[in-house]
Amino acid sequence: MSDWTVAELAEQFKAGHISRRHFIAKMFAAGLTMPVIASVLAACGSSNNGKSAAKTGAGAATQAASAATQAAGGGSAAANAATAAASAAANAFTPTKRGGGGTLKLLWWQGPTLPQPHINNGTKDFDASRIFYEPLAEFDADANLVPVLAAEIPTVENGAVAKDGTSVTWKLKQGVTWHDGQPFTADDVAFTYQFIADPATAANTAGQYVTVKSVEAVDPQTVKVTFKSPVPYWQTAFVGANGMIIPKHIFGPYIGKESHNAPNNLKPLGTGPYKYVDFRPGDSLEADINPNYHVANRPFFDHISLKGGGDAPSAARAVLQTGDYDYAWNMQVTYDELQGIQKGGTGQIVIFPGSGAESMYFNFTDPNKEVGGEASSLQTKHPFFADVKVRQAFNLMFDRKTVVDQLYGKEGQIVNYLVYNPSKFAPTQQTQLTFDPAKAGQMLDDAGWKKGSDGVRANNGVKMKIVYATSINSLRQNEQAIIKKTLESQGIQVELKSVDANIFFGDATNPDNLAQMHFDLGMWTNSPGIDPQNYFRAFVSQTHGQPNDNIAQKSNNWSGTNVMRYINPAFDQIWEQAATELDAIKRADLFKKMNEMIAADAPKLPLAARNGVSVAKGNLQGMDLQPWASSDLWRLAYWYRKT
Amino acid sequence: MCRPGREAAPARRPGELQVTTFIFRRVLIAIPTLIAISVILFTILHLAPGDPFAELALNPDIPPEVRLNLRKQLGIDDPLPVQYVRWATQVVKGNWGYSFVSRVNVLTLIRQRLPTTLFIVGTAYLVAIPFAILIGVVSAVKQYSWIDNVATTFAFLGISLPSFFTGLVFILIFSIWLRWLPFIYSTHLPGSGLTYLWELFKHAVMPITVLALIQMASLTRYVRGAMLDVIGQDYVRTARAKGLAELSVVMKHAFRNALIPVVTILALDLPAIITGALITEQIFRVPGMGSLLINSLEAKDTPVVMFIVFTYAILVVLFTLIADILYGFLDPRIKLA
Repeated sequence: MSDWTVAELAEQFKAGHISRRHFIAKMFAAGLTMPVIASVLAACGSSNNGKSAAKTGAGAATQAASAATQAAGGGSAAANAATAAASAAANAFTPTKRGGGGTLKLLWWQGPTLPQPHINNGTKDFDASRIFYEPLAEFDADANLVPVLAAEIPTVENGAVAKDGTSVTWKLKQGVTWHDGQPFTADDVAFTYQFIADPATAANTAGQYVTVKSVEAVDPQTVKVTFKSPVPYWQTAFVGANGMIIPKHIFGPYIGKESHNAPNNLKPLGTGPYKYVDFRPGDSLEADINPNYHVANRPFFDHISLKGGGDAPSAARAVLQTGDYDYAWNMQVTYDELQGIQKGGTGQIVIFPGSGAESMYFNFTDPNKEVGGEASSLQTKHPFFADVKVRQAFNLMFDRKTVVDQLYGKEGQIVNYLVYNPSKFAPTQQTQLTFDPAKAGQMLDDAGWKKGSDGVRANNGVKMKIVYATSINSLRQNEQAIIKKTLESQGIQVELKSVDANIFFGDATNPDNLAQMHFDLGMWTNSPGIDPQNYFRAFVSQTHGQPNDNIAQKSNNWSGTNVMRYINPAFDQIWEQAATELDAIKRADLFKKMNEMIAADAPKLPLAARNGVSVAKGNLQGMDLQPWASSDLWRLAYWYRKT
Repeated sequence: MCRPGREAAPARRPGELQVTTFIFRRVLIAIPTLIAISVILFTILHLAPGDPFAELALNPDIPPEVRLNLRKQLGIDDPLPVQYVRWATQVVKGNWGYSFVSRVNVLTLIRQRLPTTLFIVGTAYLVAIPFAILIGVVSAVKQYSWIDNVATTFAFLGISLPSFFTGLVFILIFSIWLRWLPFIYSTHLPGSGLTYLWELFKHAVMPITVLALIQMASLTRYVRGAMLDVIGQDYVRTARAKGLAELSVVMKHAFRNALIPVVTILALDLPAIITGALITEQIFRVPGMGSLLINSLEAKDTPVVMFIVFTYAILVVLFTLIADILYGFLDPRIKLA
């Protein structure tokens, strides 16, 4: 990050050209954390302090390896700053020997239960696995691949990626060994694919390998992945969280049905920076340094102690106030509360952008009419949400600013499109979302929904009544209250519904599950991840050759991903195009177009984007938290304590 | 006239024969009771909301076939009677199954958690009992004195203040303000010998104290009530009249008799140790049976929940039997029937 940028911003701020909020946002975009920004603001007192503030800023940029970027605008500038900050941070610590850092104490308030990279129970288990296992490559903050177990990143230029998009060849790093001393070879990679692809294994990472036809070990250091048909997005197999390699000589006999009996499911054995010592499901994980780790002079810490259980706020206290732990993950705590806990201590709150957004889902069918025992059947049509003018009117009534200001604070931001990160998939010319209940009322009047004598809008005797549903979560209930207020002020009768999260997001045969949509308006979060192809599939009506086969309905046990029952053949077409478009730039343009189509047709609208929040001790560095990583622990080998 | 010759065989004391029959009959009744309990438990669990694989359902990358495959493998979607019979036949063979969530043998999980719970909850009991007896006896003997008033107030506080409140207050005072004690219980403590013991003490003292306070509170009331009952009796007055020392009257005559109901109450309370102290374990992150139960319930991890709750049921039945026998043993006026 260049010295003059901070100085320039500081000048503008002092002169009153930009608001304090804008200044802070820009500083965030440059990769500074709150304590640093606070000191810069304090230093912004006199005119001479422009330069000293800049020096503090540059020093802080090298110190803070986390980047919080604003979504709309500032995309590439922030990305450059983030790269600079990250590489500066990486260069800032050059150890001359392995270890010596003592014990790192991690606090995961959802304790890991099964640290196996391919058959596990969700994020916390991927995090625990990542301590021991590694993929061939990972995505960095700029969504570029960095090699981990691979020797180099395959590209079209170096010939590793086939021009016709049907295969990719990985060269493996030399001299890598498993924790038990056996050499890491291409056979292990090929075996990992076999393990995942066997349907009897029921691997939960299998979804990322559906496009793969075969994986073969060309020679001990080379692996070739062949795809069923040309794929534009080949960075799926063996990349990121779903790509960790497992040893053939350990898991070999436990493929298929036997996969759940492998003793090493609970005694992880990988190539990673730490070796297994002890594991108690749901409680704790202990690991020792791997003395033969394949990166010289890494890792820094000698021992990892991971504790699970409890809740997020007390975890924040353990890190920020008492300093009992070094790092805690996934702080689902309001920002005000976090700040209160941090005050007076030496801890840091690390905020980094995500890719998902809390969103509002419209039901295109009628949840109150049952056809053949099925509610929200495709045979019905929603009395008002089927009309795009009504949906856009509702769009104007979602008070996003209040939700972000009151509930999320620094942890959230308003985004105009569902897919906003990586910014290359968001439209360059953005139509800003606005809040205008009066205009919304006018639009509803024009669409034929006028207020009746009881104050509730109606059309031809049908009243505008909605059931607005989400999961049980105090933050979400607050959001509901805010939205309901505006809707009711414009003559819409709102009934709030909240369902236990395990049911709402769990088994689809339960009538309260979101897939069955026994409500008119739904609210929950989905994340596109680094490639939005799968995410946009939720708007496609037909994917397997049968009309409407992707729509969630009784005939497919509500397993279709299109829960809104949204049918738009034009969108289906563009989505198919993107699935086979090999040119990266053309494909990005297609995603931009999809973003715009959805924003215009509004079957689903973003409410607020949630950033990732973690807390750490002030002297803990090198975490490099970013949304594209496999886990918070993706750079565990590079973490260090500043002295 | 004495009849020479053989002697009559020594008659069995009536008490012994009664106890054996009593136990036998109770065990016979217990078996269908336990079977009924297991059926009800299993059914309720089956009907309860929750899904061991809820998170997988949220993941767009997991094809529905994989999810369905997993469920089929673990037999989660089989009809209820099939699942129950499968579970029951395995249990009879001693196989309690595997956790849905971590695929660990249920018994291994229990073995990991039970010692911690026994340590924390057991120590709390061991601390609470002598204190409760002491305070209860003193408070009964010196009824309505200031000691009694303080003890009664303290007992009321202890019973009405929930463990999460006491626990959080302790954390606030000792961990956050004074920084004396860690508030996250750790099972992996460094060092050995004295250092280890000191660390263990620092970690365990808060959860144990919270639990002990609550147990002490209700136990004090029981002891006090039982003592008061006994102290008013005629034979105590007789003992005093005989000129025995007050201490002897209280301890040898009154206390021993007062102990009878207290001991039986304690025996009935003992099974609760196995489920630990749910709330206290959550607050202090003690990896015990209580937190295992809660986590398994939330994840609808049927094998684990069935083991814990069913074992609890067995222990309740067992300890009720023990309490009854003990009562009959200690109090000669009681005839077991």
